[in-house]
Amino acid sequence: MAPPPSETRWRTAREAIDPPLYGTLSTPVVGDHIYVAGLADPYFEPDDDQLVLAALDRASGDPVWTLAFDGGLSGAPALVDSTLVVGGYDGRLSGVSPDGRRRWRLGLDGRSGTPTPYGDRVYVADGAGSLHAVTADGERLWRVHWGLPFDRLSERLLGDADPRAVGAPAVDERGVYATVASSDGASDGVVLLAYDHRGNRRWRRSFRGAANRRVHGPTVADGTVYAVVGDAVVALGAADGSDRWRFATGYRTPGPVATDGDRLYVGAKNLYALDAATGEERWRVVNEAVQTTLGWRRGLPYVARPAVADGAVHLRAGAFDATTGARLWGDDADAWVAADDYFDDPFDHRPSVKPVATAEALYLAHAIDGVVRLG
Amino acid sequence: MTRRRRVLGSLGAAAALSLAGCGEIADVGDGGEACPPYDPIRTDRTAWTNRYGGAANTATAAAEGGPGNEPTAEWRFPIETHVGYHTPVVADGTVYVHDLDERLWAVDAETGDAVWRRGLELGWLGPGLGDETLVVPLEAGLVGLDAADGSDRWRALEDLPTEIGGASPLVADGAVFVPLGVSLYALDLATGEIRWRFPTGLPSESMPAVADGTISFAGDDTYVYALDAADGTERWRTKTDARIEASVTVAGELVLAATEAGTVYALDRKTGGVRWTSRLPQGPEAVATDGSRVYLLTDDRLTALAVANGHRCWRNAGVSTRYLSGVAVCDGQVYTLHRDGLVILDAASGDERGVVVETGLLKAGPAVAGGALYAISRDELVRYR
Repeated sequence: MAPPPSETRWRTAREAIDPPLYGTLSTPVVGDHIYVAGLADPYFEPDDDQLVLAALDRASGDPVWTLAFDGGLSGAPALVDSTLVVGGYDGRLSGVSPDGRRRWRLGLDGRSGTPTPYGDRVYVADGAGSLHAVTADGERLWRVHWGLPFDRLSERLLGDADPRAVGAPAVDERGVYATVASSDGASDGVVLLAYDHRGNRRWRRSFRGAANRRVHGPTVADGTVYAVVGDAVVALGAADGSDRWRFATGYRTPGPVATDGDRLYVGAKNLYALDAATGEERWRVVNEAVQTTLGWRRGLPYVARPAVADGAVHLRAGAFDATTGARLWGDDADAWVAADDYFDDPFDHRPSVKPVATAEALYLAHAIDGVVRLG
Repeated sequence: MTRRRRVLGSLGAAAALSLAGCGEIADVGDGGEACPPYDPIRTDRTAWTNRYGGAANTATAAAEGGPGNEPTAEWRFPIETHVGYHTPVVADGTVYVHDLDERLWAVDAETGDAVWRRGLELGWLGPGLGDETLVVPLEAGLVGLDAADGSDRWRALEDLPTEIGGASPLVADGAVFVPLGVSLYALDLATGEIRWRFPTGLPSESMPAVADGTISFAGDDTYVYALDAADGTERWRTKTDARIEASVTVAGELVLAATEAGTVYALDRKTGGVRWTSRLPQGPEAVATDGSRVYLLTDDRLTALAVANGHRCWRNAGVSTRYLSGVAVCDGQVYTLHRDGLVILDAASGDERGVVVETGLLKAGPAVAGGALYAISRDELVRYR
């Protein structure tokens, strides 16, 4: 059930949280409370800055607790067996109890990505090229390395100064899927890997095309894996990695994809709905933002992962009909951009709003407004 | 609209002769069909009113519009600028050129003398011309000028900045078609008023082509669209494999478009159905077609494909793109720019027929009109005939 249009139940500013919720806001996680983390942005200084994980009351938006991470955060929270697992910028994975106490820490091999829950465990990738399976109690079940020899060698020689971008893994009953940015020094690419739940590699596919600064984790549904490669969305058979289809968006830095089984939704400047089986465009919502040499005008591109629920596709502070693309309610919540030319640098291809939809409400992590509940 | 009919007689004989040469050079690997005989569609165009010639971007001129077999520089008109150049437009004995900065000239085609000069805040794109109206991109939006004296007729879309490498306006059928911002706009040529807008949400550097009341349009969006030129209604759309930066052209019953990935698409003009595709090593910088061949200029070569089936008829690695250099086709000859000067190739065989040596770098052009060829050499507009 979509929340009623433009009814803001509460709004909690970044500064209303103590310590303040700085950094790039993670997509809210809905549990007993609303959990949001501030993740490292390009301005993050590990020696000077602190990033926090915050729990907000679902009904009022009031802060319930906050937990500060001196080493910073780079992986958004995931909820598994009542434990919140967050990824450290310092390469440590942390388990946090529902009342905000740190339960455990586990060292990864590099800067942590966002964990993905599966049963009683999470899968998490790190910037040094490892994928880990970790229980809700912080026990590592297995670890594999993506095994790109060139990268491992350069890491050994040059250290971890510029770790590779990692996205959240995708999971289904067959196993876990991860994307990694690759470079052979001459050209960029994206490697898509599939493992079973015991850490055995099932298949590996590599694609040419820039992975962009933040590689997106893949999405898996109904036996198909969807990944963003360069400006395109590719669909592969989950069982063997075989080609299904490819859709070039024409926008160099598309966001991650979401699916409801029938269609695939991707913010690639415009919002596109693609037929999940064929990759054909079913509809688009035109984004009127214009990029000039000075920055964006008239808005910012759609690059957030859309939140799909009950026949509605939620993006920014609004929703579209999943079948037709017609706007159901709401708006782009970017009056602050439209009011003035907006320079690229702070935007940096990050979503300005990350939505999550539940049966009761739409929760937003909003770069300017903080955390917002609609409906 | 350019009137087209098949040329019979003398050119037919030339086409028959060219068949043998073609077969020797052609690298036919995908199906074994020979490159069909060179049989260009005749054009009667003797003006060069848009970036790529006429409304269909064919960059083709009638024999009487061309510079002949042994052109030489006739006059030079100085354009000193630190910004850059564009391909001039030419009609009714006048050449229009600007410095992408602040000065726009109308130059007498016969004498090379300035007819008038205007100061404007110019954008980095070339003009379009029709119905005695010169449409010039400004830093933001467009201005419509009286071509006779350079006075303002209208201004439009002034809230949209023109970008480096964007598409120049196309003037056709009493309208101006220009991709700007994230839409294709159709403006009334007389008033500058917006007739319609077709938003894709992504920018376009590709010049659209107009033929028989239909506009074919492409861009970063990766589709080729056919729209009703009068009201912007979509007739069809065809998905391609990558962004399209090169101009769209029309050859007979086909719409031709080449993607950044180097795939050339020939689409049915009525349905958008894919008739054939062909591969280039990369996306082309310039495209021209005489209806028999489509000539595609990439970084280091000029490739001629058969319009009928997409087979490669020849390629010439002796040419390379220079700045904004294009390709022009006239009377069985292909003109393009090379580091040594103006290169003339045989359209049927791709063989070099001559080079007009130019010591200054040729930077923009060619435009072929009124019995002459125009290009920008170093800091001068040059007329060859």
